[in-house]
Amino acid sequence: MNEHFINIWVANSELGRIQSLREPIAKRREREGKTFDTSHPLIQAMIKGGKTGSKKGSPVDCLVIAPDFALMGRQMVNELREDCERRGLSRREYYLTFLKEALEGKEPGLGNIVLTREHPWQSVLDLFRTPTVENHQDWTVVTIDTTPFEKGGTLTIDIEIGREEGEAAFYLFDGDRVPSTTEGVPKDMLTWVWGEPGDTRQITHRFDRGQLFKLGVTGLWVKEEACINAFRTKISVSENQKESLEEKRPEPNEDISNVPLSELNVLLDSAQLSQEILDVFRAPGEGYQDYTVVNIDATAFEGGGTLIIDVHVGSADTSGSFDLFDGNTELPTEGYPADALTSMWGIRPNQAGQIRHLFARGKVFKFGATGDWYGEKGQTNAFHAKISVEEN
Amino acid sequence: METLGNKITLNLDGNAEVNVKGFIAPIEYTQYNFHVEWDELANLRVAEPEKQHPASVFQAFLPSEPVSVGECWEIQEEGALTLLKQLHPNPRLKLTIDSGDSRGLWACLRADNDGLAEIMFRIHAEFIMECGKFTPSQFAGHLVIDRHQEKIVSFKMYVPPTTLNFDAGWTRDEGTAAEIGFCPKMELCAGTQLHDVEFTASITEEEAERALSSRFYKFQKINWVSLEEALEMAPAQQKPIHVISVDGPLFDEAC
Repeated sequence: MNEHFINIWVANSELGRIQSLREPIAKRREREGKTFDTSHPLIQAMIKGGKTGSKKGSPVDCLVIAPDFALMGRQMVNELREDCERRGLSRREYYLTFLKEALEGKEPGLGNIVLTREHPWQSVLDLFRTPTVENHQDWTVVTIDTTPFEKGGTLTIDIEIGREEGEAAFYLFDGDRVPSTTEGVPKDMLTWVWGEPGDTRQITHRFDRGQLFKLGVTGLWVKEEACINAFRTKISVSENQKESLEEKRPEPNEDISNVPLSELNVLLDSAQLSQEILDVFRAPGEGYQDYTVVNIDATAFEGGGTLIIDVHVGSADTSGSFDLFDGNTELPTEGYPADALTSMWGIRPNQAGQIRHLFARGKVFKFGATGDWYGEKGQTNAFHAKISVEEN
Repeated sequence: METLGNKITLNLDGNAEVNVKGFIAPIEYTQYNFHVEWDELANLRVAEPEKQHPASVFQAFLPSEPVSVGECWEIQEEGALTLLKQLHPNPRLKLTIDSGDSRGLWACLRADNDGLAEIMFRIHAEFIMECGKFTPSQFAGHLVIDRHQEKIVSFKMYVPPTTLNFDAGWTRDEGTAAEIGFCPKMELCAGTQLHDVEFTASITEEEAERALSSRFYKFQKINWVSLEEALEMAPAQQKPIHVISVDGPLFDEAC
């Protein structure tokens, strides 16, 4: 450790990562005339490291940061046991592997999608933003690790764009490429597609041996005010066979519905027992509500049934809260939603939850999605909801 | 007073008495507000604000063999527990959460001259409450001895006022919930602090702290540097930075 690294430790409370301690610690610093400069690139890299990756928040994070203060890897201690078991390594062996992979540029733990023969596909649910200034891209980047496929294969990315405003461009790059914030259409991309709200698209790319890729997603057209929209992808690899590099399409996509994104109204009946939506919610600030509303018409189920809403929150910073109301309820803009039929609050990024509600006869519901009260007001996140009814 | 090469033997006059003052300030903040909701934490105060201890209690802090500057030895438990009871009636040296590196009471000879010897020490202990436990980050301290008179010149044992300096566990019907927070002052002290003493042999306080910390934590073998040092070293040496970002401090028991 001493030979290969400069080693430091930092308390999360100093970085402001423990929200309830921010104010008392700030007051104490002020009283004692002490400062803690969080604007330095190294501190910023640590703060970013705490927010990066497939899951956020762990009492202990281990980070590797380059000499120019770029993040190289992250390992959450909460995930250590599971990660060790997954790779069949002892803790010591696993941590050494983590450090080596960070130095090799594999960016372990930074949200990389690692595809293997055992797990040849993964899903990503996240946000993109449209630029507000010409030639300034605001990238959402997904790093895809296909190195286990030594003999190459075909990378397939099935894309679904949320229903909010904002067209998106999806660019595939080699893994060592850093998408430029100032470049228009990137010159050295491998391939790309674009889509409008509600579209489904697909990228395919053949590669001769396993490597890292980056999927860069950005809003396409400059708008006065940034539009934030959700996207969902299923990223998969079909492996090249020994004898031939013949392209083989992945198995039919089970994870992303072929049904176009619904509008604000979801109509369910015996012919269509479920629909899926992909949208965005926004943190309302403590004590307030700022609902993204989906009207669910289940009047066709005259004999009643069970309304089931499976929700998956995206990987941006804000946790989500979800409330189900009667169709004629006026949704509150502040305070606890006392009229809600059922609620599910504080679903963390990348976590899922389910709302179930039994109804005696067909009716209309309102499903409200909002950020939880602890998120910074105005911050957004994507959510995907599968809304279905089990008939009585 | 004996010397053996660079080694010295330390003793105390067992007949003397030492007046020790104790103090615990109200807890200033916690992560989950336990210092407001949990009465025992809200009302945590020193058990005995002032107490006469026989000097023999402090003999537990002295080495049984001759030592030289920089050398460490174990403190005897009984003496440490006697002093800790002045702060709280129910101290315990075996911590509830122990990864194998939490146990122990260690002292180090930091400096000496013909007349004085300064010992620094570190103790890991916790207080057992009715509904849980309170674990200070550590009890750090120093003891200055008049080698000729075999008397205590000054003594201070305290919980350093770092950003977070204790861990607590509140046990209720639903289980034990963990808490971290800051207590501005928790200390025992006696005698008079000395300043500008010229020692003939010494190590710095930082070196003594590191020597003591190494007795508890194996990972002290890693050369941990400060943020400021890392900011300068990384670009200059073109080495990556390995960071541990942890809720509480890495080198004590507050997390």
